[in-house]
Amino acid sequence: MNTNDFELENMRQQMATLKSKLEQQEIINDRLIRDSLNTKLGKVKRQKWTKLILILFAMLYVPAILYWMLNLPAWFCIVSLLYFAFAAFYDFYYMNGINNGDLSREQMLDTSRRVARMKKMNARWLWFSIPFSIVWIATMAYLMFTTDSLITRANLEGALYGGAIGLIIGLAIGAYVYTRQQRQAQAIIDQIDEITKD
Amino acid sequence: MNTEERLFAQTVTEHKSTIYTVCYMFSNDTDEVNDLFQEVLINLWKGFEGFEHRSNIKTWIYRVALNTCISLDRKRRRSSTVPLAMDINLFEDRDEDTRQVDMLHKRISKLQPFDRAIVLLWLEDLNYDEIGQIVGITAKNVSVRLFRIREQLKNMSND
Repeated sequence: MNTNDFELENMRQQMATLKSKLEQQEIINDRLIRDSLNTKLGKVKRQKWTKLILILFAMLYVPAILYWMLNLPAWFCIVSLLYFAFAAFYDFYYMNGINNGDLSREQMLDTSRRVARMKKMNARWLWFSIPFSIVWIATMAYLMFTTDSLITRANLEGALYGGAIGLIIGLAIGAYVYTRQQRQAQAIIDQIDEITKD
Repeated sequence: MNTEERLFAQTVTEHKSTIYTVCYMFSNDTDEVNDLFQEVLINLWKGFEGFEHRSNIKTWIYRVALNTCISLDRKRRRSSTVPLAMDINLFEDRDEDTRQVDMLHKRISKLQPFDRAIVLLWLEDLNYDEIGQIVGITAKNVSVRLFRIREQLKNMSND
């Protein structure tokens, strides 16, 4: 028996040991089954509704704060609203997870392609959203300084410092998420390329 | 439970070790196995209605389990994972059998996800056509990959 055969035979024995250990275990009890059955319709729908409600809330809350409380110009409020609407659209149509029909029918290769595409789209969104957020925050800061609003200048300085710190932290997190997602997506793509080239 | 739910419970109970094995080979700890296992059960249940019982159920279970393992976002842990009904811990127990199982886990974990799936299916005695059907490559390609995987495994044992 050569080394390869020995390795594989050894692995087969180890697999048999694993199976025999598992067969002696209950593993699936009634509670687990009940929990799985109950999530059939609930989970995905609940997540979608929560997201939608949060987006609608943001779309109402942002103009209320920007327009009525901070007294910022209407054009800025409209641009902010459009940005939120676009973010919502992008999130729903491009970054949604893989649905169960796909998991039941698709081959592993197709699912992996989808995962890689999703990760790439997630990462690409940062290319747009981070610069946009910087411009958005800078514009808002400028407008707040030059517009009479309910917030006094003393409060404003505090808000600006806070905003600047938040921006730096946000940028650092964004950069980390971006590189991580790109790396993961590339690893999947590389393996798909390798596995399909034979 | 209605008839369909009972049939589902019976099916997953019959194939519990298959589901567990896939989850185990794609996890690094007990919590991750629990999470994955539950996610696979949910996905199996969601797809159970659409499953045509004429085709091979084991192949379908592998397909859903592997796709779930590949696509699940590990950052998002389930908030309410039900622990699996097991009185052994394959990540922590130290008896000889578990040590052997752990060696298998370590070897397979070192492989890339596709190779991990291929070798796992091969160890489960599926033929090249069936493996190809699940993974999405030709039977010939499966044999080429398996040859390379064997080389990798050999190198691992030499290290």
